[in-house]
Amino acid sequence: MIIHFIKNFILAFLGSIAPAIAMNIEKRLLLWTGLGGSVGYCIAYALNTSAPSLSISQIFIGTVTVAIFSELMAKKLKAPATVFCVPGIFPFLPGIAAYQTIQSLVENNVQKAVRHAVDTLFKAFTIAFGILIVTALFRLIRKKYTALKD
Amino acid sequence: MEQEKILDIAVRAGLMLLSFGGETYRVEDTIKRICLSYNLKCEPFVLPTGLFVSAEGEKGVTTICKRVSSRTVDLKKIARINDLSRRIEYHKPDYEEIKSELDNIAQDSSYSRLTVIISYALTSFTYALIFGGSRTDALSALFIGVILGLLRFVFSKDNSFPFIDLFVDGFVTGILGPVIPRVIPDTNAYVIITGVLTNLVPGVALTNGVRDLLHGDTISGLAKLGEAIIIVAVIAAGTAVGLFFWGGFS
Repeated sequence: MIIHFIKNFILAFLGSIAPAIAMNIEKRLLLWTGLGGSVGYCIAYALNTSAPSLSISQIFIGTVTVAIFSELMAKKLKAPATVFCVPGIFPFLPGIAAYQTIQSLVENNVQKAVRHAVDTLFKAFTIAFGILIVTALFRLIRKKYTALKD
Repeated sequence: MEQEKILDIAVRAGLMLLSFGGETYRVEDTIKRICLSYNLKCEPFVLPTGLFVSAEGEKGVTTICKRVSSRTVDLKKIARINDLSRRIEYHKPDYEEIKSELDNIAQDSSYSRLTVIISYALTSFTYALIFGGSRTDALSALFIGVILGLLRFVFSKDNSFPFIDLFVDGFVTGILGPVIPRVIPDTNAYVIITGVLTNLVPGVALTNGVRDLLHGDTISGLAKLGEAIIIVAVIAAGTAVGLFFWGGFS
């Protein structure tokens, strides 16, 4: 059990920093980005450890975690939250669903392709929505906080 | 500072932000913030393919329209321009200083080619494992990932057709993926191809597109989603052509 978590932690860590390097992230932020990705992925995994792939709700919780982490790190390390968010959500991207869409199209199975395409779109929207909710929330808190200080 | 100079830096900063993968509201915010720091009222309108800024100051109305031809993702440059815009807001440096800083950001170093190729390989390797592949699958994915990393530099300069590199990437993956199970036993082409293609997934376009949409920037949001769909379609077409070559696979 623990072994699985450690394995997923390391995989998600590598899975976040490797694309981050391809997107030219600053070196000082690299480890933090990886940490965000792996924490989010492990929490999503903990919700249902037996599922073969992540469900919509798991993806949502995971993305929200990554987004909260990004906002906190953005404050701490003085960098925009996107820098942590974009690589951090990489482990959640619906790569398999997108690929299955293509494969079904190649096999000339349109029904299956449409099902996978809808799945892909739903997952993508879930990720974006998860980030957006957190961003909006933090912006609201910041506004209230500065209003209180004045 | 004069109106033209303020507008010049604001537009340059915004343009760089836009071409390095910043969200629409971030670009608009940055332009507005820089102009307001020097007491210039402006109205930016940002699209994924270009931007318009109109400023109304002592010298009447000035409008600038700029096109963006190439869009990449560069998190370091986004962070640095963000820093700069904050610094402008608090310290209000003069024109020459900001200009040299912007030049500095534009020529900022990126990772070496070797590192980028390694990162492509590592992405393929990791995602093959995440998608449930064995170690042999992951190592095969790593091999194709290296080829994709090399291809990135072949196509990095002078693209006559913007999506051709993605098509070729997809094609190479679709051709090489099914070969591996024929050569190495106990491998799964499906896992290998998915792992490798994760390198090309338009994650930024997709999430930024939806964020723009939910933010109220409907046109930018739809345009970015359209871009993401085209990217996926091009990769899919490339991969599909590669797979067809082998008659699909069972």
